[in-house]
Amino acid sequence: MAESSSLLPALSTELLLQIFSHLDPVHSTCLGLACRRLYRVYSLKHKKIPLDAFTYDCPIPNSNLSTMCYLFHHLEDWKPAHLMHCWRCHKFGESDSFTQTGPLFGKCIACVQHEHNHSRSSSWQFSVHTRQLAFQPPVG
Amino acid sequence: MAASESTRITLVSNDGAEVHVERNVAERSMLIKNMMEDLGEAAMTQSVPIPNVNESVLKKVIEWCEHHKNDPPAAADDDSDSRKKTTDIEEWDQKFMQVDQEMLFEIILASNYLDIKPLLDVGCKTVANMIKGKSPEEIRKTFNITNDFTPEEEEQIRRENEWAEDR
Repeated sequence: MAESSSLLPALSTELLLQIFSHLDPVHSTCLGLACRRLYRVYSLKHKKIPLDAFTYDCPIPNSNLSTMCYLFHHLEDWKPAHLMHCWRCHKFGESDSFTQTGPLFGKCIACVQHEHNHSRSSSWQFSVHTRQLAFQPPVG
Repeated sequence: MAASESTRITLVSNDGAEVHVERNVAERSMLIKNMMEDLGEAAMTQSVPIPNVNESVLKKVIEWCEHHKNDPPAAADDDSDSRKKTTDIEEWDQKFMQVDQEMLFEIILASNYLDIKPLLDVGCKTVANMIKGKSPEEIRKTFNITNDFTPEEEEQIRRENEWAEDR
C-alpha cells in the first residue's frame, strides 16, 4: 500500500475492526485520526464522537493504573494552530473568535455571549454560579 | 486409539522448514484441525504445508499453542461481554507478546490465517494497549504511520464530526 511502510494500516479491514473492538470511542477516534485508511475503517463503526466524550480507561504511563480523560485532551496536537478548543461548549473555533481566559484554554465568543445573556436575565446568584464554573480548568 | 495425544504431525512452513508438533497442540488451529479431519489417516504420514507462514512465526505460534493446549474451549458467546470490556492479558501471554512490531503483526496475520481465535485476540489486544492513552500523533510515531490527511480533509473531518463551532 502506497501510504505507508507501516504494518498497522496494511492490515485487512476485518482485522482492523477487531483492533477497534478493543478500544473505547475516545481511543478509537485517536486511532482513526492517524491516517486516511484508519479513518475509513473507523468511520464504519463510529459516527460523531463529541470532543467531550471521555473514558476512565486512559493508562497512566509506567503504572498499571488508568485515569479519566476527555477526547479533546488527546487532540491538542491534531488541531491546527489557528484553532482553539472552547472548554465550555467543547468545540474547536478560530482563535480570533476566542477570549483567552488562561494560557491553555479559552472560551469562544458564542459561549461568552451566552453567559452574558444569562447573567442579565437571571438572578445575581446565577451569574456568580456561572462565573465560578467559568474559572474551573478542565478536569484531568 | 488412546495414543492420539502424543501423535506427532509434521508442518511445513512457507520457507520449507519442517516443524514437528503434537497433533493436539497443532489442533489449537481450527484450520489444521479441519485439515486433519479431511485427511484422516493420511495426515499421520504426510507433512502438512502451511503456505502463508514462515518458520520463525510458525514456531512462535506453536509455542503459544503448546502453552495453551489444555485451555478449555472458549465459550460460544465470549464475543459479547468479556471481550470488548477488557484488554487485560494474562501474564504469560504478555511476555509472549513482547516481540518487535514485525513479529507482532506476523503473529496476528498467522493466527488469523490458521484460525486460532484466542491468539488472534491476544494479538489485537496487545495492539490496542499500545494505542490507549496516545494522541493521533503519538500513535503515528509508535507505528511509523505517515499522516496523509490534507488540511482540507482535516477540515472535513472536523465538520462531519461537528467538532467545529457553528458560525
